[in-house]
Amino acid sequence: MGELSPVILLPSPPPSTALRQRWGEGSLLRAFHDRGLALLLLPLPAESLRAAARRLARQVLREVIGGLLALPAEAVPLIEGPQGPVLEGAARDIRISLSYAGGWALIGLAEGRALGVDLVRIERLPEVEALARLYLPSASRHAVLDAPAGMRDARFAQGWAEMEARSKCLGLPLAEISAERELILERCELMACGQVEGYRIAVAV
Amino acid sequence: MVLRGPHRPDFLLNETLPDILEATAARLPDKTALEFGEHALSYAQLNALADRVASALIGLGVRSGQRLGLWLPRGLDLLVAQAGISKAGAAWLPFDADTPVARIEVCLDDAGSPGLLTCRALLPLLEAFARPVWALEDLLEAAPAGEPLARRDADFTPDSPAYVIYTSGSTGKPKGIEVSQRSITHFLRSENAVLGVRAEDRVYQGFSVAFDMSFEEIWISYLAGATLWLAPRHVVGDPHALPEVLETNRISVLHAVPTLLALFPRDVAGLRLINLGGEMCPQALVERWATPQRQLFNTYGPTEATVSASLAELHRGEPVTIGKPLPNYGLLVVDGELNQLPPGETGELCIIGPGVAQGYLGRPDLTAEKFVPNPYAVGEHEARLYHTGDLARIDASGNVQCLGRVDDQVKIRGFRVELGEIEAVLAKEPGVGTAAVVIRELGGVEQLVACYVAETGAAPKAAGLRMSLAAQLPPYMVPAHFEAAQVLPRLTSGKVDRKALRLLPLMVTITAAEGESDIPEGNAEEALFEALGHLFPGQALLRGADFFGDLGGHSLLAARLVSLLRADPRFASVTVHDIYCERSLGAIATVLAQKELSVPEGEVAPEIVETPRLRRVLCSLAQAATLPPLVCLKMAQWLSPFFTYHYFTGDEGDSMWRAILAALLVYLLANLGSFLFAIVAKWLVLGRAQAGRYPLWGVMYFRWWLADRIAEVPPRHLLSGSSLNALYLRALGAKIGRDTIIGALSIRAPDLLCIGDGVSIGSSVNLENARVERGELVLGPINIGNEAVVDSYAVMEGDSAIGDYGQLGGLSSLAAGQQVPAGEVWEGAPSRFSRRAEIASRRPRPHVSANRAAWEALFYFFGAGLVAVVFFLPVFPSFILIDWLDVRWLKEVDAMRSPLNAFFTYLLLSIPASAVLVLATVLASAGFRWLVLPRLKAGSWPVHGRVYFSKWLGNQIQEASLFVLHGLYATVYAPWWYRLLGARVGRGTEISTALGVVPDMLTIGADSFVADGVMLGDERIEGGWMHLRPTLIGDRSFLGNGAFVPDGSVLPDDVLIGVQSRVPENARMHSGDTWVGNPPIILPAREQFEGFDPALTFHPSLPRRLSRGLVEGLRIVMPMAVVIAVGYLTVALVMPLAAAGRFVDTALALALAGFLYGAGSFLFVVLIKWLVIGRYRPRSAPMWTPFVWASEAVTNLYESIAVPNFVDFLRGTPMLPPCMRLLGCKTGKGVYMDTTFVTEFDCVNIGDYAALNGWCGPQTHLFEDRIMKIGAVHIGRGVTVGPRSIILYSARVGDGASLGPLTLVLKGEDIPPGSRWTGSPAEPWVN
Repeated sequence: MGELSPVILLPSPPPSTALRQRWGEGSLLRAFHDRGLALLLLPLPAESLRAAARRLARQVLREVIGGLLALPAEAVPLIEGPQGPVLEGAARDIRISLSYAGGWALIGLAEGRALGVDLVRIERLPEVEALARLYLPSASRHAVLDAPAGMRDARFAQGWAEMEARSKCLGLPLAEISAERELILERCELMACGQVEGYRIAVAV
Repeated sequence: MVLRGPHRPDFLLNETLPDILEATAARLPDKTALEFGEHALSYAQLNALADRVASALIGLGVRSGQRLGLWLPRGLDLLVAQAGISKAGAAWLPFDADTPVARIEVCLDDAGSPGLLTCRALLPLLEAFARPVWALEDLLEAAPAGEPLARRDADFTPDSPAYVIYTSGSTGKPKGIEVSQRSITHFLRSENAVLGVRAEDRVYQGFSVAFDMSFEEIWISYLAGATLWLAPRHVVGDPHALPEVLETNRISVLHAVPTLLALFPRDVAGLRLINLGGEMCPQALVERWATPQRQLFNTYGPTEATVSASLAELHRGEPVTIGKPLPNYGLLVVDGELNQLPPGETGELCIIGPGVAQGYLGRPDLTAEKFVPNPYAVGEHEARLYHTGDLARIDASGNVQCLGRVDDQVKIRGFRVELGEIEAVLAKEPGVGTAAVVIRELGGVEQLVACYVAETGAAPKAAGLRMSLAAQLPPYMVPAHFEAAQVLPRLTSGKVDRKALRLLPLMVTITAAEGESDIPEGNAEEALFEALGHLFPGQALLRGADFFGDLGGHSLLAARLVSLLRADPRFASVTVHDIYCERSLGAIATVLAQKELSVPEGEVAPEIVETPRLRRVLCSLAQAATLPPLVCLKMAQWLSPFFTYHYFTGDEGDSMWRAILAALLVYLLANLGSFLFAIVAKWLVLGRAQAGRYPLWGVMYFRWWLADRIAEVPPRHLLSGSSLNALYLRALGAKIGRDTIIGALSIRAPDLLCIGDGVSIGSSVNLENARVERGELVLGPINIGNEAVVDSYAVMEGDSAIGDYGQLGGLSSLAAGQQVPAGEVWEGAPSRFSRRAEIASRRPRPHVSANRAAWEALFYFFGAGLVAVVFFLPVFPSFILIDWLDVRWLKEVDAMRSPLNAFFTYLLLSIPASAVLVLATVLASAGFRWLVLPRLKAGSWPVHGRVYFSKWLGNQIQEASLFVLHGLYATVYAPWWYRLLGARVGRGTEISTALGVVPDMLTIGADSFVADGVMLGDERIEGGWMHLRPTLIGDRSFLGNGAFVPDGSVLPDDVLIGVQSRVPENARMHSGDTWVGNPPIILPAREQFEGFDPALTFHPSLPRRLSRGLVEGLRIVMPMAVVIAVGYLTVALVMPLAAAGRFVDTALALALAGFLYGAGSFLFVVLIKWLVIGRYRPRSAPMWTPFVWASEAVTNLYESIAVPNFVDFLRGTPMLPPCMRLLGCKTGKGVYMDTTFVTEFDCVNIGDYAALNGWCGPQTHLFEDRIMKIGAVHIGRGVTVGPRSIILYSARVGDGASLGPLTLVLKGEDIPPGSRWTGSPAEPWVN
């Protein structure tokens, strides 16, 4: 695990001007400048549609990056890449990773390095053991299989979030685990970070 | 600000749709206008038929300005009817073929239509129809060709209506939008001024005529005079079939909705223009489809503004917008007060210009609301302004970005829907009181949900409501869920509180959803639907539903689905990749069905055949007895001239020139004799083989094996590509037709090969008509029909055939039982129908007389002899050097007294001699290449001509020099070697053993990597013509082992072609792509091997370069030094016998020496392997490190000394597995190995009684991103591996599994026990 990365909780709904003033000069800017990494947790309106959540996350992304770059939100060169939004031009060094689960959107920003974030809701999955065997690297797999019944779901959520964050960071599609994939997934580093109750967050760089 | 398109008054004409069609029919009467299946209509025919329809309609009382219903299935008749209505002066009101009759009636009533034009087949559905119905067939009969025809009346003007299209209406009644002739004809000219559809284009017609994007397909084609290809109904919605269909029909222009294009599994060659519209275009589509060779457009516009109002040309890396207005159109963004907003501000988008419709039929209030006077008008065409209801803003570049809907219109799967219309229909249902429809996310996907309150008593059942609404509304407007509620939440205003409704808990049950789901058919669908039922309880499961888009699946749900399916042993091979690739439930079920393992319940794996030990031992003894003569026969080819030279030298007065001539003569005779020996021995040992199954290790097996080994003694490469090859194969028992061209070929049972006249067979083709499976040798016939083509690197098994003029593509496989029908081209592994062979367009086969053929045979005979001599000559300088050193300083070497001491002394002497040999061979190649052969040019050349002969000689240089220069490949010197032969190779590029290279045609960029056995730009021969095209590999590209690069390929930079994969068509490749398999599929992301110092991968330091150069220099020189040293030792030991005239003893001694050399070579490699490497273990090592150089050196020693001199003879014997164990492999009992393709020996595990057929191999390492990655391969008990199959590292093949020919098992794959897999990449093998 690498250094601790703070999770910055955003207000909901995010007022754009206030956001820029509050976070442009505040903790987000500091976190980003100090560590080259920032995590933003955005509460979504209840029962929001997937498309609406995506739009909202992108709107926030524009506002936040606009604050970082001292640009109006609409001038932020944000485009849709094959694996999510990316910045272009001079801002392309800022890497973005997004994840949605339940009532939250998780936004990760990193400067000059690949990044993957994932957010998983802890829930009871009947096939959790089979899933762990099929998809998780050995350490996470054993953590799930060896866990007491009450902790198994949380361990799985943690393992899944870590695997997905690593995959996103490396640009890999989801696939069944193999010795080869396991070795590759280890090529990026997991960061310790704050958590939200009922969810697991993982960040890989 | 008002964004205005270019001002083009020349598009504002007084014209109508009939004018446009008639003008094109007059200008291009014979040009094909429409194609549908086997039928086609020229513009003159279309115009004439439409005139007859118009005449009949006029005869029935249809007049200008009337609106006629149009309801026909897809086809020529529909478009004839459409044009006919227009020519009658009327407007058409189109309906989809599956529109409910009730909705047609509502719309016709609303439009005050005089009747419906349909076809006879639909008449039974219209028996109760209230207004007149006319069948097209009747109209055409009523106005026969040649009769005087009635014409439209004078009231028909450009202001007459052209068509009416109905969209969903908020009051419950659909609303009709009427567009004038003037608006639509202006639109056609305006949009095509930007799109640029041309008369030469072939345009795909897939839209329903009820969707106004069909104007872009149909009427822009009519305007341009292009040919419209009408897609059959079953093709229209099938994205998997469309790429093939579009290519086969040479479509150059495609109009589509983004959703459809996104589902295309691959690119479409020949498509020069794509126009998207109807819904938002995702950025990913732009990245995939906008290429330098193709224009990609995004159009935007509501029906109210006549099809489209703006258009953007999309480019990669640029954000998607709806662009700028079309010529004469205008766009503006306004606030609620109709004030213009500046760029960057979001507001409602409004449209102005000649496309703005008059309004809604019979809806003055709604028209007044949406179509308002334009306060910013600067001309008569801008008098009115249309409120689109879309949110938008103008960006800094003046492009418009669309941001969604203002009002409560919603889009469901691309369709615009007014929720009020559905509510109104629902509220009319018996028993329903009030009703509200909302869109909400259920199970992660947006769906229409209808909530209703019962009028009195029990609420109506959802199933009945669904059925009733389905009869009245288009499918996309039928809610996915019906929820009966006690009361609907309301706002204080009394309106339904839609927000509260979206939060209302639903009482949906699985049972309810089951009633709405498709009924699963077959094992695969049953298993899939059952698993989905667990994951998406309460959701309707429809075959057409998209797992991600419709059901709301995401990565974890996909993983859970796979886990649930794999719990059933029949579907143990499904992967999450399948879910991502297929997406729709129907397609996933199809893949499941294909992958379903045919393992009867309770039976885990088929029986593993254990061959009897006694039979194995007896066969082994018999094979061992033949080994010495076999090995020494091979040795004789170089040992005999070696001995001859030294027999005639060494004494005072001996003539060196006489010795050289004698040695050359002996060398040529030995080579020629080996061919004669192979022919005679084959007939003596095997006779004529019969097809059938024979016990492994039995008598017949032994005879076949011996004949097969003997066949490898002669230097077959001398005959490849020449007419002598056919003569030799005939002598071995094959039936070969006239005028065939056969390249380097392996044939395992020549008696069972039948090749017709004019056949072309490319390089390195394997005709594997003998294979071992489950304890049996299977011999089967291979038949190749007249004028057929087998492209390079293909594999055919026994019991396969190609019909006359049939073709098997490069790197394609034809397994036992498969046949390519006459005139078809099959490609892929496993091969499947690809297209019809283009026989008609073939150039005539060049004629060759009998005399000419005889002269050519002589040319090839002497050419082969010349090449053999030229490449044997370099041994003499090395002999002279050793003799000179020997005489001067080492006269005292006494081989008889101390052979070992003598050997090492000679080895020392041989190192400089070997360097001289290598250098002299390189110089001989260069001299031959640049002094004798002309530079080849791209083009088509007859195979009976100078250019072909020249290319053949060029190939011979590469082949003949291999004996000496084998060690040069895969070293830092390899690029220099290829440059010397004429290829252009960039800096930092690594090349291993490339095959089929035509150096003059090859360009490789910098820092690229060509792995072992890549077929690189081989020429193609068909119908007596050789086609040469330049092949270009970009910078930093990677070609995996056994990849196939067809000539003419142009690889962009940074492209990765996987192991045993075919390079796709040029148009499909983009920089950064990864392609795997055949047919090649693109992988979304590839492993990134990062974290290694670039100094060890791409940018090595000078000391590392020098070190590697030194190690590899030794690696090139040492094998030849060993050969020479052994030769000298042999001469020293045997010469006294010859000098004493004991020639029989001399021959026996030479034979013994040859055998000892072979066996000794193998033991030497074993020793070196353990000393230098020790045990191989899974690891990763950058290329520029000593471990990699040492490993490559050991592999090279194994391949250049141990394999040709000894191990190759052990193929197919029970002795090979124990030898492999000496090198570190773990092999079980009774293993059959017909291959020597093993590298990291310790990483190979082969179970008992496994059978590894010809040229297959476990590949325990890969070089990717200049990192050597080593891993283990496990092959289970009783596994059968087909010819030329590759199993990549970290893969396991379960007990009893079978792999077909040319199968590629990917890294980390787990092949379940007892299953059958084939293809590249491996997929379940279904017969």
